[in-house]
Amino acid sequence: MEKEHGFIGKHYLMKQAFGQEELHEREAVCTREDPPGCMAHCPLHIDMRAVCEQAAAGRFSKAAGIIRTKTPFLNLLSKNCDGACTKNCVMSRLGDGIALQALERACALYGGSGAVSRFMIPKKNKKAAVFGDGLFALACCWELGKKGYEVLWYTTNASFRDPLAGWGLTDEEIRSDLTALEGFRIEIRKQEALKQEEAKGFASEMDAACVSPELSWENLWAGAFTADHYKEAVLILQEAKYASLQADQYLQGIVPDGKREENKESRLHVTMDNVQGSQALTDVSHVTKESAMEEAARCIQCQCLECVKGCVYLQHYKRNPKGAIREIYNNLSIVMGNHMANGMINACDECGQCKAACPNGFDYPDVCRIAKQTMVETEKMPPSAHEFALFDQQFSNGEAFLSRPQPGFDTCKYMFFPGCQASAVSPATVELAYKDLCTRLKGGVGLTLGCCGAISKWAAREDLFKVSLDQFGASWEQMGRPTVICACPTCKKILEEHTDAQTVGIWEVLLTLGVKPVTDQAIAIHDSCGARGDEKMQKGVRAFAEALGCQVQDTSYSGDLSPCCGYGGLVKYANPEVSKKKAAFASGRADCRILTYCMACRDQFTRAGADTCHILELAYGVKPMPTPDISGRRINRLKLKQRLLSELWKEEFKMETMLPVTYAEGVEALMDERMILKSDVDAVLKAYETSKEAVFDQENGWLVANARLGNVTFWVKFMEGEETYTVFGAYSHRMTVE
Amino acid sequence: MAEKNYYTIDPMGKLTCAKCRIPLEKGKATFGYLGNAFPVELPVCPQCGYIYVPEDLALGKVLTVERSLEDK
Repeated sequence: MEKEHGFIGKHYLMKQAFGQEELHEREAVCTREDPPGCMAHCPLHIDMRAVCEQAAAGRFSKAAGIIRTKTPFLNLLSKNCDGACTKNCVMSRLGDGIALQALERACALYGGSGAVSRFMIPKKNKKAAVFGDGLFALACCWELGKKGYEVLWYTTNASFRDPLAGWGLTDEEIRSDLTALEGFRIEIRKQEALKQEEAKGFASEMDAACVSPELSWENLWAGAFTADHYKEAVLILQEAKYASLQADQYLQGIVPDGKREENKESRLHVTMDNVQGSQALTDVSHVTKESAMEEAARCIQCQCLECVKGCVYLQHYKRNPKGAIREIYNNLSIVMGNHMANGMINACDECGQCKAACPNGFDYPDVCRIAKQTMVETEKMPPSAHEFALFDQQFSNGEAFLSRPQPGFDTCKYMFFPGCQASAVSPATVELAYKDLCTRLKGGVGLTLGCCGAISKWAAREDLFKVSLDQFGASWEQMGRPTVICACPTCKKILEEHTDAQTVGIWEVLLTLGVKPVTDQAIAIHDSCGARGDEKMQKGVRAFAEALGCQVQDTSYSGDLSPCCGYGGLVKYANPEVSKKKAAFASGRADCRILTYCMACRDQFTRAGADTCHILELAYGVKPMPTPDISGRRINRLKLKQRLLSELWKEEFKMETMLPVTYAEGVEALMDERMILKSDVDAVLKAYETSKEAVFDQENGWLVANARLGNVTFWVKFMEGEETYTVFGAYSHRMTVE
Repeated sequence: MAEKNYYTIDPMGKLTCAKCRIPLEKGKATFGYLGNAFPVELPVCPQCGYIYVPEDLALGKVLTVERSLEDK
């Protein structure tokens, strides 16, 4: 019998978000791993930042070890270093650069012996020759010796000491610097004189050679390498490193590339907030252990924190965007196994603060956006992350949706689009604003209560985003393509970018119509993520606030660098913990009241306990109410629709009646936290009334009933009274049970 | 070989089916999510088969498993 062909078990949807090449291009935008100025300009590229870190803690042995990875001649270096590092230290912009030469000296004095255990030295069965008498030749011996080659040193010197004489070192210092050569296989082949024609004769004994530029030999044989001639010790060491590397490549069978490590300007941007300039605390002649530690502690450990310092999300995950995009890239490449970065991807609010703060414009939010899209397309998006928010959009554009031209008009010159959050959080403000616009603007002002689609865009649900835009488009066309007056920066941005509608901020309209001062309070303005990069909007809001009488104060991270309130990107739903932290940070930036011009920001800040209000609440004298729970937000939208339809359009709108329910103390707050709506409780109780299926909990004396609504099973603990149900708790799970 | 149960809850005679008015008993049930199934033992009405998922289980083990499956 023939077997049926088909998929066995699961099959997987795969899609590459972007290739490795693009990953590398994106990573290269970030300069955080570039060397600091001291290291970039050092001919030997010594990591003096790390030296400072160790020296500041008194670990001179470790500090010396860092220098010895580049050169063993610590005494020579400390007495002959040209100080390019200090000149290029960022601290020199404010005061003295770190006296790094003094730290080199301290490493030489207190860093112990540079002797390497002979067991640590690799052994290679090839021989490298070195021709020369000076420092170049000695340095080549060390460079080749540490790579494990047997070194044949052709020199007129009698000992290793000779090349170090003449650099101002004492006998003791010379002995100390030479300890690093102990254990290497270096044989001195003493010559009367070094001549090129004789050297060729030794060629059969060696596999490669380094020739000192002092000898000025020309037309070297294959396998012999030299470099440029310098008089400065550090540059001689640099050239020895270069020539030895060429020989090493040759010995490994690689064609030497002739490339040098360039001493170029560091690309690393250094965050220098609150850094004060100071004077050097020691110098190379007077350095002591204590003064070296103090001097090293002046080093600010150059790093770029521009993206991280204002972003609670990056701080929470202890990530930087460069590292995070690699994790995201790997996360998207997983076929089978745990997608450990899903949570991190969905906790990014895509607010763009980090991109605005980055000196090079590293676009991390774009990667998160692409990742979310890929997750949705490959069915890897956790279903629970955005479902509640997407249902909320469906509710705003369904049951709570309203679109009408101004009474008495068929088409309108304007359409007021307050946004779903304004109707949910402060419906009275929406009503007052609409009536005001209708009174003062000519040509008719229509009203559309609904969601612009930002929620589905943040959830990477392009299908639902399109539905939302189409719905808006139809209303807008029907109203005669009016100018849309937005009360939310995100709505304005979305409609501007994705529809043909011309938009204007309500603050701009009201300012033109005339504003009366209502306060003389000092306030700080929080710019929402929708206003990032929109200077006109940011200035317009400030002008409006000043016209209202506000004394506008500056805050840290304002304008384009403003942090997210914790609502953006649906973080409030996907990761409530990060969302709360964000709200606390963003609302804690000012000593005075924070004025927002996005109702989601206002809601988040109120929840965080801040003194805040929306700019329209201030303008219309609406006292900011305590933030409604998730059920209250829906009821507010429905009641606003009902009230406006009845009063302005003389239409009746019936809200679905719910069973009479009383909630025990604390239950409503618990339901808000667990994303359980009162309408969910109502549905469970109605199901119970039909089926009478429930469990009687004898210990507590209540009934527990359930209902499956969509992808979630809701359970309600309740008691039946004569006229009302009393609810003692509610919980839910997504798993099915049968 | 006995079938593996991922979780067992005994009603201990403290739960009654409100419809059938008889005590719930430990019975077989299956949790399912995103194409995965887990046999468990939960309080079940022996007559109508009503299955009870207690709050501690829903917000504890069930939630943990849901989250880990969503990240698979």
